[in-house]
Amino acid sequence: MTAAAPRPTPGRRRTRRALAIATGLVLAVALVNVLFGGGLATAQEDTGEAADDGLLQRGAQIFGAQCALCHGENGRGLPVDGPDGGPPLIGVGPASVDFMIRTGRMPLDNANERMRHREQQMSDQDRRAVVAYVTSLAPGEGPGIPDIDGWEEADLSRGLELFTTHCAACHGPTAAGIAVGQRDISSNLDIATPLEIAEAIRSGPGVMPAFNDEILPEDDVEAIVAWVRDLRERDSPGGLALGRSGPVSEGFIAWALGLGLLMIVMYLLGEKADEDGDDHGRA
Amino acid sequence: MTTTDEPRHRSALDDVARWLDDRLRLAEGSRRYWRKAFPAHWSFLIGEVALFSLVVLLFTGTFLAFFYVPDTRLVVYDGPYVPLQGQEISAAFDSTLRLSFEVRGGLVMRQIHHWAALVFVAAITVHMLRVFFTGAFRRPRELNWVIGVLLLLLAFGAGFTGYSLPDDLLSGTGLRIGYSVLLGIPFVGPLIGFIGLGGEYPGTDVLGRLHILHVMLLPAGLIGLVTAHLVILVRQKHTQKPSRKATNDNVVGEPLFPHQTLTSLALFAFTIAVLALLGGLFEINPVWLYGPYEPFQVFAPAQPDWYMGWLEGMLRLWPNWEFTVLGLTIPSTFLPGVILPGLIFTVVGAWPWIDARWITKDHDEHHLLQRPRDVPLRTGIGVGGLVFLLSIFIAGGNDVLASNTSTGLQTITAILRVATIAVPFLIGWIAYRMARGLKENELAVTAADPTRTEPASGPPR
Ligand code: HEC
Ligand code: HEC
Ligand code: HEM
Ligand code: HEM
Repeated sequence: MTAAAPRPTPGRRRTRRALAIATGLVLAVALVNVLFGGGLATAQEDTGEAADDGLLQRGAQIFGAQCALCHGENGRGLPVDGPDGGPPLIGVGPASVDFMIRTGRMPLDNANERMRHREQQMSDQDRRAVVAYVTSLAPGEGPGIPDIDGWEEADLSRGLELFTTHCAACHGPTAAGIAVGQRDISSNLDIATPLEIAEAIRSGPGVMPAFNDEILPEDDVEAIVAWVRDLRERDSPGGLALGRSGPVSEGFIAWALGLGLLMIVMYLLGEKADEDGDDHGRA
Repeated sequence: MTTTDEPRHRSALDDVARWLDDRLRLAEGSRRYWRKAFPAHWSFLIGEVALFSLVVLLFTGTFLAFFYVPDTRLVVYDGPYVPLQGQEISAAFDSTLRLSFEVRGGLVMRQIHHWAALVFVAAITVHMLRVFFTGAFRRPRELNWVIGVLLLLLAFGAGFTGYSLPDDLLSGTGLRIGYSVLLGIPFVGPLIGFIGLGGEYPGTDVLGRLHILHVMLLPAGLIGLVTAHLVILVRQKHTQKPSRKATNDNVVGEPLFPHQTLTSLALFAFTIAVLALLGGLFEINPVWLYGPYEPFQVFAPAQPDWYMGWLEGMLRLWPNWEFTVLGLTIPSTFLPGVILPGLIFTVVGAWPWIDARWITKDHDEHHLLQRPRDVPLRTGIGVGGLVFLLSIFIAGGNDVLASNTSTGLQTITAILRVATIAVPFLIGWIAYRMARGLKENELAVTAADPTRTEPASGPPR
């Protein structure tokens, strides 16, 4: 019986196989870990850096092609001379660049013309690239792209008050837009998205002043955004609101519709009476 | 028309009329008035539209006055309009919001009142133009013309004071412009300002003062003068358009009853309907969007109601000149804000005499109307003056114009300055030439063919 060779019992065999499988699994996991896990992490870092580089490169490329003509090499700025030229962009901050491209103001066609709101002139990806590039010229300077996630819960009442104090003088009390100084016209804010409103507040496009977060903390920016949006979306309890440009459009309606309709009535009433006029002696 | 021998249906109204007539003998005296003739041409109805809008203003205004509180003291808003909840606003603004959001029918009344004010002044203006271009102001109607000009001034006053009552951002700004013009009047300005505000700017009593003016003094003045206007009208009878039947010695038209009464009632109903339509369908002066007035808020260009636009435009066009006379600094608002409007109103008020002395050289009584072509010079001056007012009116909205045409504000203002001086002469001259051309043409035709009716003005009598 001593010579009983250790013959694997079915139970043992099962154990060994389980062990093998377990080892295999561990190895596999380890291998995966080694090959892919670390590799994944590295890949992430790599692509991250590569993408950043790529993004910056792409940004530099687009900048060279579309912006340097006016803003100069590396955004150093060029004097306005004929249709070209523009201010230096070093340190203007991401909010300004993002706003300018988002609202289609840049690239400008002609440095002597007013910037105007239009379709974005490049893809979102390209915009991010240019923003990254211009930011990299002076990292950390200028206002960053504001975070306004909470604007939908912001305090409308505060927003109305702040809008009245800081914005109504230029944009009109209903944000319909009016002229400011010579060549500048403040925008009708109906077309601006919440992020654009916040970026405009922080960066101050054109002659509009920039409001930093000492004057308007984040909560206040959100409140203003909420009020500007509310102005556009609130139902008007009084009926049709034509253009909301205040007394100007009201005067027009009063003449054209009010007195206009009454003139027609007068004309019809008078004409009819004309047919059977009688002669009466003047007493 | 019912004839007398038809069996009369006796209604309760007839009974009342009979009862009154038995006691007061109304029919005897009033028969003449019932038969009073009204000229039928439609342009004679514009004055009535003005009258009916005034009636609507009085009724809606009385409703508003039940709820409006003329008080600048601050209260905390706690009404249903979310964006203002918790803010400190004046009791006046609070009451306007209450009228707009809580009082049943309040908003529609406010809107009808405001639309009626705009249409009222528009109707007076057209009425005045009708009277001007047809020479209806000539002797013996000079007095009614002068009363009319006073009515126009009172209407401006009522509009301005009413606009200031809600105490919102826009009205406060209008008030401040008015106040600074007032202060610019040498010697008396600051005194009047002090009395009006009850102290230094922004003052505590100003809304109370404006309120009394708006709901008592000015309406009383309007009612009184309109009554005088109409009594004189009845005494003098209407002018009329010349025709085969209408001469300088008769009145051709509709008898007051029933024709003209029906026409007027219909017109009254239509006036109410149109104003209610505007008030019900179109938003006007949404003060809740403008927010409360903050006295020291720099709130740049604000438009007034249209009838104030020409005053605002004059202030905007006038260069920023200040000068010193006898040690007294005359601010740049004095000439455009006080002297020029005063001059314009004086010339307009004195027009019947200016017209008789220098233009027609005709001091006789006239009951027949002229056509604009009959007096080319008057027509030319009138059109020129109108174009002048129109271009300063446009200047009152120079910022809106600039932003809608994407042109610079200074460019627009410079263009308007030149236009205000040059264009009235040009257009006035063109109108004058056209009127002369038409008149000469007509004379030539009549001379060639004597069977045609003679030129409307006829020989002066
Ligand atoms: C035709 C010339 C022109 C071109 C092309 C142009 N810009 Fe500009 N840019 C200007 C001028 C001029 C201004 C100043 C505008 C003003 O203030 O009215 C300006 C202003 C800006 C500003 C605001 C600077 C500040 O001080 O806040 C930014 C950001 C900007 N440009 C970015 C760009 C970018 C990004 C591009 C390319 C996609 C571009 N611009 C293309 C002429 C140009
Ligand atoms: C000194 C006057 C001035 C003030 C004060 C001002 N703005 Fe502006 N704003 C402007 C002008 C002018 C522009 C147009 C810039 C351009 O395109 O040249 C503008 C543009 C904007 C835009 C861009 C809209 C678009 O067309 O995309 C937004 C949003 C905006 N303003 C919001 C605000 C807000 C919110 C405030 C108050 C915190 C404010 N502004 C205060 C003058 C002003
Ligand atoms: C008896 C006559 C009148 C009374 C009692 C009256 C009363 C009022 C009151 C109480 C208000 C404030 C309402 C508010 O906005 O909350 C008001 C506003 C106003 N009134 Fe009158 N009014 C009268 C006649 C007139 C006339 C004749 C005019 C014009 C020519 C006029 C023009 C205005 C205007 C423009 C407003 C501002 C309306 C607004 O808030 O949108 N009113 N009136
Ligand atoms: C509250 C404002 C006014 C009211 C309610 C009013 C009402 C009327 C009415 C109903 C008539 C008769 C019908 C007609 O001719 O149209 C009339 C005639 C007249 N109105 Fe006015 N009016 C007002 C303002 C004015 C103004 C501003 C002027 C001129 C400056 C004016 C000058 C005249 C004259 C001269 C007549 C006589 C015209 C004629 O007999 O042909 N009125 N007015």
